[in-house]
Amino acid sequence: MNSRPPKWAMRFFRWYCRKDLADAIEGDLLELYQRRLQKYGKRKSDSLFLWNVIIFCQPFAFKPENSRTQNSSIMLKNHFKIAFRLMRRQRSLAFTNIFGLAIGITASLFLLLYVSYELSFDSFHKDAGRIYAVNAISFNPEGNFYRQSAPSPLTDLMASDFPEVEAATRITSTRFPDNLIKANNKEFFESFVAMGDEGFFDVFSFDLIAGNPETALNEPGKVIMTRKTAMKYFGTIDIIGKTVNYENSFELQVTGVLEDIPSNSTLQFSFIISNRTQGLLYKNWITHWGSSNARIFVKVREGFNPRLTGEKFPEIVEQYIRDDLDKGEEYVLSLQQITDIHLNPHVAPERKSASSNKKYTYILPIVGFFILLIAGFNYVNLTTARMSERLKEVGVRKVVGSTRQGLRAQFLVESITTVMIALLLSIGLLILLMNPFNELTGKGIELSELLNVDFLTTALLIVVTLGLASGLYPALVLSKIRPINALKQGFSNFSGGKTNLRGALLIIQFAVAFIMITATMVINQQMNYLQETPLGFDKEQVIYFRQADRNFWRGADALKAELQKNPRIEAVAFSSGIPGNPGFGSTAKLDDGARELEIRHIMLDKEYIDLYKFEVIEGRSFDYDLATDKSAAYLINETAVRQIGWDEPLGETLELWGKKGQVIGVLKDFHFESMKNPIGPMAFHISESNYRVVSMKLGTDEIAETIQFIEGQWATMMPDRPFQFQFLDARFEDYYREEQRFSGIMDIATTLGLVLAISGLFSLTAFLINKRAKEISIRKVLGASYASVMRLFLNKMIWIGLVATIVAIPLAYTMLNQWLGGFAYHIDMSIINFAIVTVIMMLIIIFTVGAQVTRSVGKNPVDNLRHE
Amino acid sequence: MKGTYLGEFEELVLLTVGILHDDAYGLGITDELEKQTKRNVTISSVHKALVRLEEKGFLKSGMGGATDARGGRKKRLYELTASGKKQVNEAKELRNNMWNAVPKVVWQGGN
Repeated sequence: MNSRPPKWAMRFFRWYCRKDLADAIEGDLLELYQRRLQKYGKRKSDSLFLWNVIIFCQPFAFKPENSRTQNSSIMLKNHFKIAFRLMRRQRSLAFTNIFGLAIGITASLFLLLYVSYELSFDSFHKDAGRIYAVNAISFNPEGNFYRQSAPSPLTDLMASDFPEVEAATRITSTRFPDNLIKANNKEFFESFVAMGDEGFFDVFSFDLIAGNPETALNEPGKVIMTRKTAMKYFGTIDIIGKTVNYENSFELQVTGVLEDIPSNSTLQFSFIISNRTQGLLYKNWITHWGSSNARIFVKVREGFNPRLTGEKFPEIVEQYIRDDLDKGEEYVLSLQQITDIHLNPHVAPERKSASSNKKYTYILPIVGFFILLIAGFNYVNLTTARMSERLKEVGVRKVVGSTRQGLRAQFLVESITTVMIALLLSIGLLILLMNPFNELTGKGIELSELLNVDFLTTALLIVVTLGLASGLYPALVLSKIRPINALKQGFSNFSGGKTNLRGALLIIQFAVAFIMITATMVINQQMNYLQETPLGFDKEQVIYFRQADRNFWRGADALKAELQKNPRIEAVAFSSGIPGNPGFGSTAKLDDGARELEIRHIMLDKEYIDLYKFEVIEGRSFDYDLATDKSAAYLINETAVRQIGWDEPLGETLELWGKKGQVIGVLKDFHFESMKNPIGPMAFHISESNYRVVSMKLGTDEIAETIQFIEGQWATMMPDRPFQFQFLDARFEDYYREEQRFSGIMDIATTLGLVLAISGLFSLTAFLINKRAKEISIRKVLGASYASVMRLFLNKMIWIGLVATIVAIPLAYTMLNQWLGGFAYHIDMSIINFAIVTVIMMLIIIFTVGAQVTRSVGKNPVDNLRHE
Repeated sequence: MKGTYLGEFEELVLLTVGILHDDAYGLGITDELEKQTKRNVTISSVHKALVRLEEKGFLKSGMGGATDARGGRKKRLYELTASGKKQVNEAKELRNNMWNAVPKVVWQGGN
């Protein structure tokens, strides 16, 4: 057995420990080591020994300064002093350096923050790693169709029959997207109303600040609300026992108040109604296997194996769900960790880009890295530019006795100081710009997020790497110089290191800038395309409002008659859904039930098609005078015709919701939702009792008065319902909000990157020209033209720019093509983009270099040649 | 007065050096301290205290015997100096005085 501690640990100890103590301490440590060897064995003793060596590393044990070969700590102080003096002397250079780095660091920290926020979703739950959602996918013979919800009774089954499940809960949506809530004489339509049961607090860590989690949701007629909602209705959170009216039909008792839901939660609520209330409001689905309407979450025990749980699911499907499935339909249950949902929401395949989060979460760090790269390379280039001015200093230092290490340390200290100041500045910027950043990204990132350990480590790592990487090159090059050369020839003969490296850095910088500019151009083009392509119907000047009352349609005609008295209201239409809302998705029966098709359908009245200017390209629109049009007629879109495969659609029959009818016309395809999703099959038919939404087309003038008029009419005709309207085009803008934010971030990032790149190029040319000032002057004296001097400098830069372009084009093309592929409808990337960006890059190079050359050429040659 | 202030741990180390008399070296002192106080004592903190106490003049040291277990390294043996002894005494007296100044009722009076 080797009974010695690791040699390198000993050597390390010898290295730092002072001579007079070393022997005795080493003896003590070895004695201790031998003792431990008996007790713990070699491995543990070794690590304990190392631990001892590490904790001995304290000032009392250090070598006294004068006994070391270098007086490092004094020199370190001196390095800092020199660094600060230099900054003071070359203020503009220091400013460019620090500011450039600060911008780079700030931008990348922001993007890092954004990403860590996106990745933090749902991780605030106490046992986030053990919380899973149950996903259900049903495959029909045509392809797969995704549902997030599962049958409600599965919750109880999993809680009782799955030993690995510690707790299970379900969340059910209410029937309508907007729910009319009245309390304390206030009434609003609320979107975030869900139903939950008593398992809610066993699975999630949402904080109940008032009420008892055991009993808050265990009986029908109970409701809890968030602090914000409580303040909105009651102005206090002391509201246990108060009542809340739901949809004018049911009184709910407040049993708890939730702390506001964190913004990084995928589950968002204002109200949670106890699940058992369902049976009182409408049909009770809790024990019904035939409907997938519950979002089930389970908390599993430690050491659980998701595969084993997954193996039990097919059996459950066979036993409980099989009977309710259609022919050929497959139904698959699976588990998904809650923290994974935000980035992988698994929405139905036909709506594949409904969550853009993931795409951006991976693109933005790259953008941040790009900016940092440009800023870092700038610093390296600017520092090498400064090197030639410091040759004499290096020479003198060497002559006086500085070692290579000492010089390296000096340059590293300088770069790290610069980066540290830049970091301090960027932390200030970060704090200052947090609110605008949140506005831009639409996120709720808080300053306290900055104190996250992972974030701090990453940030520190970035800074240290940046400092070392940018200081290393000048440190290595300068410390290698032979003092005699440095002192004798000085300034003019030193190129500032290998020009190859600088060329390479420039190429990377230009390439990165190229990619960023192209990306911004293409992203903006795609945005414009999405927003400006005609959708196939008219959404301008349309306001709509929704109301959930089932009996609304009875008073609808009277309301319409009143509203149409106002000449500024061009049309009023009622329907079950409006553009921008998916509407009802149902299964249509074709060929007397022999075939089926998933289809969305809207139930509407006679004004609807005219108001939205839908185009009937075959057959005719509805005729209200024909009784059969009201009861048994359909309009379907081109996509539906194509998917069904009818050659002659007119006169064919279709059955939806038990209503059989003839196809009387074909609608030209239109983008019913946003351009992000492909057009699906769609049907229109008349059904008065399903009116839920009022759409109104307004004239272009005096809109405010018109809306006031509508509100007045509404108040008299529908006194117990609030009036909350929205403009339809605003709704469509909402669809692209995520994309707009992304393109906003890209615009800013690109501008920053470009400004940094240009300032870098500018300073670098200044350095190159300065270095050859005498040469230029002599050339001029000998009769060189302005153009020939220009060529001297421009040629190389143009070459570098061209190489960068050649490198960047395929990269940019691949990246952007991938991005565009995420959209159902997208532009084709045209080569013109690349041509334009190339021209832009060349112009930037020509102007930047040209400005410097012009300045230098304009100088009197005598000034440059006189002093030698 | 700066330099002569004695921390609790330093006082314990001084006393231990006294206890061990002619075999007071780093590891031995650590062992004895652990035995007396029943606390975990790290060897580095003992050495640190020893170095500081020697700087303050309370201890003096010389090199002593080497053993195989020590890889042939000599021990640094410590002993109390006159001022070290005085310091320990003063600390003891201070304690005694303060102890005596506590009214008896405190010890008897339960809560």
